[in-house]
Amino acid sequence: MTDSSHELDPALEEWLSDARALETSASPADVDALLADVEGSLAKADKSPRFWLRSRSTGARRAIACLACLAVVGVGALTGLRSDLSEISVAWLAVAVVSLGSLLGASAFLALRPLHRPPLAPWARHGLVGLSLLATFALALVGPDGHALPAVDGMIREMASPCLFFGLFFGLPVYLVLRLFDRGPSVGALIAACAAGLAGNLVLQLHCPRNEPEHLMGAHFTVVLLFVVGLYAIHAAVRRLRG
Amino acid sequence: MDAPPSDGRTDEELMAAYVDGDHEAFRELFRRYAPVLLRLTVRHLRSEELAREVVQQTFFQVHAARRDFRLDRKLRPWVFTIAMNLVREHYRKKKRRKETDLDEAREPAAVIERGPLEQKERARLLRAALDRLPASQREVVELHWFEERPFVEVAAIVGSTEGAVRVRAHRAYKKLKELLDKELG
Repeated sequence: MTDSSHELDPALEEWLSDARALETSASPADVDALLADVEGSLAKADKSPRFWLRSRSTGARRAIACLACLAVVGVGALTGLRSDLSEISVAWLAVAVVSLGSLLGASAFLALRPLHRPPLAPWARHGLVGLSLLATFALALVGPDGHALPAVDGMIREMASPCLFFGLFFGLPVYLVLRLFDRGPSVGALIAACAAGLAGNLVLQLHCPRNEPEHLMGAHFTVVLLFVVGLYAIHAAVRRLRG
Repeated sequence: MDAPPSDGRTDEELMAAYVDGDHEAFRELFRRYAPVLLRLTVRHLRSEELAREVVQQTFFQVHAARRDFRLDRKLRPWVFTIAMNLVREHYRKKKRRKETDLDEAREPAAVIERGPLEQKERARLLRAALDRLPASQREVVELHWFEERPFVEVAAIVGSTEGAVRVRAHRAYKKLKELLDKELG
């Protein structure tokens, strides 16, 4: 045995030894044929710009992703900072920027987790997405003007507001950058979608001066919800179509 | 088990050379690791074709991630983690694991004599029992017993602590024994 401290039942050890003894190794010819296939695929991949991006080091990929997030939020804010900036609570704005910024950073970091690291535990993945939804929901419920329950019909009306499209527009580049640099497993798509929603929401917090609870819920929170649920549904549909 | 390395350099030295652009080092690494990875993935996927795909993908990922490899680390757990992640990804995509029916193998298991055929049947029964283990326990047995990796390395590959992996292994071996005892009546 590999670890002498781990003692096995003798009968089971015999079963396991028999199974191991029957294992065969690939012949050198098989290995060389497989190597030729791999070298062919790699030669092709090395010419692709997408593979070039994905084969940057994880530190570089993460730094580029963070810069992309900063650029998106910066450009979004530069299109016009909210006109009521001097009137709203500084504490509320600080909480919004710090919480959304931290969640965005964490999402971008985890969306580019490399495959040579053990997988992220499902609770951590779902916890991050849940926390992002919860934070944006709470910021919509407790706006700069304080807590107020939104009216459902008004909230639905606000879903057609330009703010929703503005948020989606600014979130999309974050999603694309993260997917472009991602070489990891398919779960990265969900976290990338979450990061995109957070970026869109953060841009709206810095840009939009409307504080009605219906607007915050229908046009701001929905950005994150649409990215997470919408893109996840699209990915699931594509996976199903591909069989 | 595998052919001895034709190049005297260690895996880590070969990886360093490969990162520096020595393509022959990649070939040598492939020759060292492909047979081991094929065995590992065939055991999980029960299909040589799928295993070849996963091994190809593993080296594809090794190539993409070569700049991430830290030269003060061991290469084997690094490569094994990529392969195991790709196996998990395969199952995630398929949303199901290949089912193996223990009942199908019940009759041959009753054979007591130890001829070559009986050894094969025992191995088949053991595989079926392994398939019944939770994935987290099964991968520990695969790496610890079949690949003869020490617990500390298995822990690095599956992303857990050595203690937790030992507990998983203990439970897995106990469950395996129970399943096999049950099959043999």
